[in-house]
Amino acid sequence: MRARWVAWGDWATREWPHVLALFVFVLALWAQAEAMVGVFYDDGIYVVLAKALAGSEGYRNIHLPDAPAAVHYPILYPFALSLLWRLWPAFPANVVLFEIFDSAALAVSAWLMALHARRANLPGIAAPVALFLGFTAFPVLAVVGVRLSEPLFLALFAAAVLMADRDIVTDRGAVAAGVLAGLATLTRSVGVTVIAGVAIGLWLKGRRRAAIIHSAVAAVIIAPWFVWVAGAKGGIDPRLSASYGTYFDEVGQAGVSGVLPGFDLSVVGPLARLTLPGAPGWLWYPLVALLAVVIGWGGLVLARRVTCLLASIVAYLLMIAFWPFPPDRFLWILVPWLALLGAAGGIALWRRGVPGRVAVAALLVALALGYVPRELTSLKNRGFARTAERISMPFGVLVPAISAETPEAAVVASADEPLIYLYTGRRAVPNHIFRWKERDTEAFSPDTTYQFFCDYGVSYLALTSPSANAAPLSAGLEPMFRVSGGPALFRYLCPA
Amino acid sequence: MSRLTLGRAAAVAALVACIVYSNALLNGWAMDDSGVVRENPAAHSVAAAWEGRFSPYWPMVEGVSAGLWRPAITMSYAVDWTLSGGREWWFHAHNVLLHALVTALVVLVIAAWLPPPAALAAGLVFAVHPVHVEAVSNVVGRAEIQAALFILLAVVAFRRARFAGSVAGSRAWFAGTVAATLLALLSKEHGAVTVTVLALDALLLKGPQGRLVVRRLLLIAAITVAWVLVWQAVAGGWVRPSTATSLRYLSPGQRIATVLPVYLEVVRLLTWPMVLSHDYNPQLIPQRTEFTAFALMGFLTAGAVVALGLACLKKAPVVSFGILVAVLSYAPSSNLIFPAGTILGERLLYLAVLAPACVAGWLMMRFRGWQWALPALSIVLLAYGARTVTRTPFWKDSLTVVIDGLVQHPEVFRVHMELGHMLMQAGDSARALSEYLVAGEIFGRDPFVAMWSVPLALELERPRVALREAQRVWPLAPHHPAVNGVLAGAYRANGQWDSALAVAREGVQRAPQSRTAALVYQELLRARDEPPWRIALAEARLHWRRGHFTSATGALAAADTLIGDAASLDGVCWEIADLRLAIRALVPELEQAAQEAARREGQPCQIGDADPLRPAGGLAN
Repeated sequence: MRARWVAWGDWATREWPHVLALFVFVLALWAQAEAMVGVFYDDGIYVVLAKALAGSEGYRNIHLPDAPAAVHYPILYPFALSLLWRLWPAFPANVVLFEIFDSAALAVSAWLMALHARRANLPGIAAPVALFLGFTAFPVLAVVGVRLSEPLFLALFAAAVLMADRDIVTDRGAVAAGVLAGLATLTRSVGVTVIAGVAIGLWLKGRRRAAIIHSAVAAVIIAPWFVWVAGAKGGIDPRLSASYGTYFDEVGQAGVSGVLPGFDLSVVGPLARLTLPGAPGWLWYPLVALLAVVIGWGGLVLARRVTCLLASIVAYLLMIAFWPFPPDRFLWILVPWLALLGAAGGIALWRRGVPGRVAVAALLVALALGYVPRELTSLKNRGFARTAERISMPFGVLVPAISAETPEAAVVASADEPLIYLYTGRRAVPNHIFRWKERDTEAFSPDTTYQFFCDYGVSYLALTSPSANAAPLSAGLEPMFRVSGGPALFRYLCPA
Repeated sequence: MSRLTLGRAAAVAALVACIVYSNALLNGWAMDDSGVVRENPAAHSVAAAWEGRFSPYWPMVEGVSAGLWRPAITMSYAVDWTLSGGREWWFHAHNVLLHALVTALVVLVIAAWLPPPAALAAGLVFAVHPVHVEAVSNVVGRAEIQAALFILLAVVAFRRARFAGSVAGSRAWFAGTVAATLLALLSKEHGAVTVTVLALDALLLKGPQGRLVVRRLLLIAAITVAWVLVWQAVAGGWVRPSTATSLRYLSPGQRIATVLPVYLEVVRLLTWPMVLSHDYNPQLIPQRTEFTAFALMGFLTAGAVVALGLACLKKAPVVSFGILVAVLSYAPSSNLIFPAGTILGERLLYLAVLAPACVAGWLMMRFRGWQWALPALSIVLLAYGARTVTRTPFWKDSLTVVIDGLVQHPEVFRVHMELGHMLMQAGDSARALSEYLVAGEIFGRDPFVAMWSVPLALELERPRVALREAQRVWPLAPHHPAVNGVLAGAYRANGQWDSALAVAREGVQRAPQSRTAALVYQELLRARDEPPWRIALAEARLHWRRGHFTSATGALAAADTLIGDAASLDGVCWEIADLRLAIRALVPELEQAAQEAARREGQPCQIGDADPLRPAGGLAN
């Protein structure tokens, strides 16, 4: 009997990364939101760009009337989707292929992270449990449930640091790490932190030749994208540059005062809120400190074995701390990594005596009181998908109405304009134009908005709710229907 | 026999399969062949098949399909059509060739546990088994054969991957396994069992690469899960809660009571398949609402078969392989866990014939010294072969299937329906109606017979018959808009307008999301010249269901005016209550006006609360 248990233990130790990968794959498929593509805006843009690439229309925002070049969102994820679109060019039926792709990417991430964790030599079942909890966390499920580039990014990120953190990094390994980090940057611009993190990690480990090779290869991989951005950014209407311009445009609008608040470390705020939702203000700083201690301790414990990973995570956190936008979504995809570091830190602190045990126990109590009930409720009620599904609801009224009651050549002003284009085929522009100001946004004046509508030939205005962000309704708008308390469709006649 | 190599054994079995089914080349198109191949543009060119690679297997007819997703099969038809110009014999030859290939693979696969002579015996049983006739002699049966072919190819490739001498070789064979699994999945839904068949084979035939097996099986499981989602996306919308006629309107317990006796028939078909039928609908397999002795016998028999399969894992792995693969391949259509689309079909037992084949092979090995072993096998093979040869012409064409089916099994209600369809096409409406009525007499629990019988009776100016039929089936599916529509039409034809309107109105009430119900009601109101406000509200309902909100707003505004002008508002509460979501959302004033009017009539309306955004979900009907 004992021999059988030993054999089972051996099997489990050997195979858990693969079992975890299959589990994450199935979990991610289950987590898909029953919502329209485009409810989170970026997801709609990605799919529009995939359609443009699949239809050989270039890397352009073809949902906008003048189809300007896409310079905001890097090309790799839309390109991957475009291959699937070519295989099955029938939207929205083909979305299932995108769902499978994203789920597979998350599963590959889980597998690679499990291999990394095994190399880090965490004690007992700490790594499997940490990754299991990390990948079932509701923010991760919310992200993978819609068409966002995070799962692919996480897979490339994990592959790059896995390659760079090997005991012996050959020139070929450095090239591979450079390629993977470059591809991560072509998936999400914040991937530059992976390039930097891996380079720093290799340098710190004394592998300077590998660091240089890695950096050079990554630079070669990403250079064409920056050349494209530099060449095409001039074609973006300044009124749309907050959403469709380059990241440099956005930082330029936000200004220095949008970057400096990064020093307040508000980046970890979402993590504190995740740990103990609804915590009173006075508890916020102790919670952040507790998280920093446990996760940071894990980083210190593993520093020698996963240097490139740690350097990349630090670079990533610094980037999103100073970047003048809300960091929440950027953080969620790090949750599995942070869970792993937290597990390592928690075990190490527990073994260091009473102070360590108090810290770990305090964090566990906070999690048990805050995060765990919310996580269980979310899993039970599919709460992770609720936001997407709620946003989708008014579009369930608007989309058939726009399809049935507007001509094909119509231009519609609406929130989530990529969604309108994808489901109705009508060109669409945002009904709310704005620019960045410090860490917030500032709407253009109504006159500018109306001029914008006229310039783009807008003939209909769709609102998802009476309180939807839009220019104040006035002359030029003729109601077609208005669902009380819900969406509305107007015919728009340009005053000029 | 001592010089019999494995290759020769496989070739002999394949050759016998070809010979036994050679008369299938004389067959034409029969039954589903017409819809799926002969009249399906996607099956007529490779380009069209590729274009429709993510379309349902059943072609669209008036915007509706019968669902399923089998692109590899449609592609194979397209290749055949391109090469042959649509000649039937070519399609049948393809089927026979595929069956021969599967037979050869059966010999090769089970030779892992049997010597060539015994494997040949098993292969011969598989080759000539009469249950295969429906799959081999009917063109659309190819889905079964092709899926079985790729499942067995996956087994062969997976074994080669496990036993390969080099890493590169192992990877290449595993790539072949994945490809074969994908092709099995794209051929027929039964391909989903491939991963379990591979696991079973790995369990029975342990190899040197044990570690890799689990990882590779996990990958194939992931591919299968992904396929399920794609299948659902392509075919799911078209596949209604697919329930065999015999199982319709039964509780889970009653379903089990009906299904368990079927397993006796399955075992009978696999062992002594001399009596065959193309249709096992009632009353060949009757609907049972209570547990009977047959159910108990079916349960014990099925349990014994599974137990035998498990008991032989170590002592007779070939028997385990045959029985458990049979169980796995039959499980999806067994109606045990979930109701499938058919109660029993001989084609569904194509791969399940591995069970008797493997048992026969094992018996030949076990009793090879017994002087009567060979003669006994020969008698079985001759009997099977003779039945196969005589059964094949049954699938000559649809007329033969229906007429012969009626002669052999007049107790099957659906055969009478099929004859009715044929008579309708031939223009003999009167006899068609009598066949539909007979079908309804034989099995009175299928409401959809009335979809044909009632309109036909009305066409033949027999409104009383139409009404009787419609009244008979209505209690079976009172929520079904089409059944409601048929009854309303029958009342209307009999001049019973009030009843017609009441039924149509009830149809709207029972299925508020249905456009069909709304349309039937609106047409009746127009034909009856009902008050304009009521017609306006019915129009608003239709527009609302279609997502035409502007038109719905217009119709509701018109109703608002008409209600104000109307002399009598009898029934306004009901109309408003049904439309309250649309009214509250689009023209809130109307509800208030209706309340006023109803108070005038002395019957205040009771209208509940509702979320104005909720109808969004209902727009998709």
